[in-house]
Amino acid sequence: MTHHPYGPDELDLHDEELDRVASRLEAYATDRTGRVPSGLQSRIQAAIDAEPDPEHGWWARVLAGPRSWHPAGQLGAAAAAVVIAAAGAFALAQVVEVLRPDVGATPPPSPVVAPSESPSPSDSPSPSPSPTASPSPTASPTVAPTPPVTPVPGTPVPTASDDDDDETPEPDETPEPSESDNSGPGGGGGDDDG
Amino acid sequence: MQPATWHDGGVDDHALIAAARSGDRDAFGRLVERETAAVYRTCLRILGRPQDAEDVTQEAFVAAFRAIGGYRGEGSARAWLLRIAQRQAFRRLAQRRPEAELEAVGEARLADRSADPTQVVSAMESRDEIRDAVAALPEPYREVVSLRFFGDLSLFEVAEATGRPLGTVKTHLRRGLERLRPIMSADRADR
Repeated sequence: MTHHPYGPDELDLHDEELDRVASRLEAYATDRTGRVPSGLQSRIQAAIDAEPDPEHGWWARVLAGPRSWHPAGQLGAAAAAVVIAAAGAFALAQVVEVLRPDVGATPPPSPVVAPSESPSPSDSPSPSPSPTASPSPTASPTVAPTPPVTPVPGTPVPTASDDDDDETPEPDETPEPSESDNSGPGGGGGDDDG
Repeated sequence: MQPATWHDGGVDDHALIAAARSGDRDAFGRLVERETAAVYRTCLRILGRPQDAEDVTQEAFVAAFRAIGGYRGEGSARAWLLRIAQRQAFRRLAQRRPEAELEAVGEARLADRSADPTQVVSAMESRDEIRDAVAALPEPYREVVSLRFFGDLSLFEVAEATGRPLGTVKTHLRRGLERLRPIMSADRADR
């Protein structure tokens, strides 16, 4: 064991009284240099052996990976991973939701505005654009010259409103005949046969 | 070429600590072998009683083993251990009952029957004064004084272990000695 005797130059100043105090401390330490009890080392070793593996710093635990963690820590890490994954998925969904209207939602708003202007060029009162305008009460008076707001049977308004749920027709599209015709797209004459 | 480890006979502190930190209990056992004497003597100088010094030495090694993950390699392993030990020893000293001091006087008289009891008591009082005076120092002066004189570390080692600049450690030592001066006056030293 290396001994470091006190030197007067240790404090970078010359003070005899302080040197005397230091010498007295040193003398006390030298006087109290008892022999190490014989069984002390084995006693310490036994105490160390009884200890669980020491805790490492958090950075060391992270680097070592979850296998080296306490079971509770592993459980917490798994729960944290699930929460983070769920939050990430939610955030991704939000981003997709924000981006989607830019691509596919153009048709729905545009027909609502367009029908209000289209009746003017068309001479016939047949409500070609009415299918899309019918849901909004403001649009129907502009289209139909008839006073009642409720659509006249036979007008394509009901059919348009039904279709509105599924898909909006193109503004230029001519209205399909009403279902009361029983004709259908194929011009079927099934009923006529009977 | 692989770096030398403590198993190769090297006694590098950092290799020992690194091995112990990675779970090598033999490496820590080697530290115990090497440093028990230094830790025990430091504890004995602070506490005065061999039995207490033994207990605190053991506690200090156990505390060091538990905290080995927090050792950043600042200073030598001995200085790190002595810092832990002196802290525990001063804590034990503060908790010790006053009656224990009287028992210690009786034990010393029994141990050396040939000595004059008056001289024994006088010497013990002198030692107690030194111990109590150092123990009563405020931090960081107490730590620096005890590591320097009771732990027998150089000021450079103290600076490394505490992470303070050498000049600051010198200042702390000087102020600590200045505070001890009125208590440990020269006439008492001659006693």
